[in-house]
Amino acid sequence: MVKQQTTALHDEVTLWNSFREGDKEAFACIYQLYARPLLSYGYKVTSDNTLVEDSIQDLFIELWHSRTNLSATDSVKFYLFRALRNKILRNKAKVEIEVLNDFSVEPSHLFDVSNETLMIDEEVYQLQISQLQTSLQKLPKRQQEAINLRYYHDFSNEEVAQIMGVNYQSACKFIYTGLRFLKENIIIPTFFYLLIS
Amino acid sequence: MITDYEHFDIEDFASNDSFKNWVLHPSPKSNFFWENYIQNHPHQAHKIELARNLILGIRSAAHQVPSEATVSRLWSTINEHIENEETLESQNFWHHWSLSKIAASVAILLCLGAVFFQYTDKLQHSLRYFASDNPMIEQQNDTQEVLKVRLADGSTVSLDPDSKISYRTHFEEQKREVYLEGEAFFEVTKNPNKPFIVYANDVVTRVLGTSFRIKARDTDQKIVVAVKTGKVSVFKKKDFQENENIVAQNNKGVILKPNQQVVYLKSEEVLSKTLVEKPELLSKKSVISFDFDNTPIAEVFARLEKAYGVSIVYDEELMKNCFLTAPLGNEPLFDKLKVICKTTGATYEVFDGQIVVTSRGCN
Repeated sequence: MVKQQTTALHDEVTLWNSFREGDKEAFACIYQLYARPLLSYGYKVTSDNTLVEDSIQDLFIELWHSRTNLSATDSVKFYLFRALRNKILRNKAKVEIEVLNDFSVEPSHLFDVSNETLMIDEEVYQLQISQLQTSLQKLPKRQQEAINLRYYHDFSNEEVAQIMGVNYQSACKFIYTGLRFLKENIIIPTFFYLLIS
Repeated sequence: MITDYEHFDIEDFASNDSFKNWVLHPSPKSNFFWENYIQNHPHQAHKIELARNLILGIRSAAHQVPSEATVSRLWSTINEHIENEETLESQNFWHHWSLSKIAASVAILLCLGAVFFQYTDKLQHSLRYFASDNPMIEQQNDTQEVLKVRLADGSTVSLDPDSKISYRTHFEEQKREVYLEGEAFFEVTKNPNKPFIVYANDVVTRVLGTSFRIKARDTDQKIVVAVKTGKVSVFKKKDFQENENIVAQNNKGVILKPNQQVVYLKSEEVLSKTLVEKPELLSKKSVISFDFDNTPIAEVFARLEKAYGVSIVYDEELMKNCFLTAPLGNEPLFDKLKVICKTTGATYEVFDGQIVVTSRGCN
């Protein structure tokens, strides 16, 4: 597993460098690798799907045009996530002035279930997941976003902070407070616990 | 890892980097660390289990697959913009547009395949660990005596003092895996369908059914795997992990027969094959006689080879006139060789697990 990861990272950097030199196939590969995670993340930053999709389009078109001026990067994924978030916020400001409310408790669709989500048949497992989804939606938006970046998109605390444009302590606090809330809201059915212990 | 996990609660584990990496990208090293930790801190086991659930649960709850239609629609727009730029740059090449469009589609197909495989592999991996109800057992020998440990498959491990082995309660379906720190003698029950694999430091030993000793103390500069009976394959850990398929592995590994051993020097990272210090007779009830009376040297070497399971390399043509008269008996193999060489004017050395005899011939 570790080995595989290193290869993936290496490929990522190679792709990025080929793309900067004008290799269009490398560019297509980068799009294919990251379009889905970027869409899935973008849908969570704002509920305006069109805004997300337009932003991704703009982002990639701009990337291509400015390819020769781009710097090398260790993590393409991190670079793209951060760029997308900025782009969404900028595009959004053009259309409307909406303040991101850090403490909004209105349910968002940050953790929507899609049909493909529940790939495991066990009913108990589904029960567990839907409980978790309900709890996640009760979290303030920024905590949801930070937890989503850290555990679903697998970024480090430092990267989460930089993508969200907040300092390290705040990112850690979003995540930690979120986890504590989720922990208290998660009920583990006895049967389920027996299965995994 | 010097973090003190003693007072960790569920959210502390879940937000810890080392813990998160173990849950999401388990490696033999992190498995070993955390399973070890759970064994030694049973009161934390429940919290750890919940923290793991929490992380994997969040991943499942957040899992979302954007529609493929959107992904390709966006790409068409992006691609069009890029193509426009290019056609402006090179208008003479009117066919360039469609060609590169085809190239781009092919590239996308190739990438899709790669993404799919990566994804399913990861998912399966986390599912396997999620459903794990097969904890590690750890046996540590703190006594001054050799400790005999019996494994689920009937194999026995004679664990030397100050050594430790760990293994799963139930072995996997495909293989039997054991982790060793220190020194132990293994007697493995035969099961050709289920290789027995010992991980010790930087060396991996794979057998089907045989007996052998492994010395892999952290403080020693070398690791030694010595075979008593049967056949054993030894690998560098790096090579073993890189080659999941057995054929490729066999090319990288060293195969040992009885009385052979492999020495791995940590500093040089090289496996070198030699003979054990005191080769033993393959069978204690051996009826092979070492009482030689004007016996042709070929016959002498053949008997030694048969009795000790070693191979002796020499120039048959050159030594065809050599005969040995010596009443040999229970002395160790290397003492016998000394006598033989002295009387025939030869020398011997051990090279790559074989005995090589050099002689100028006899008259």
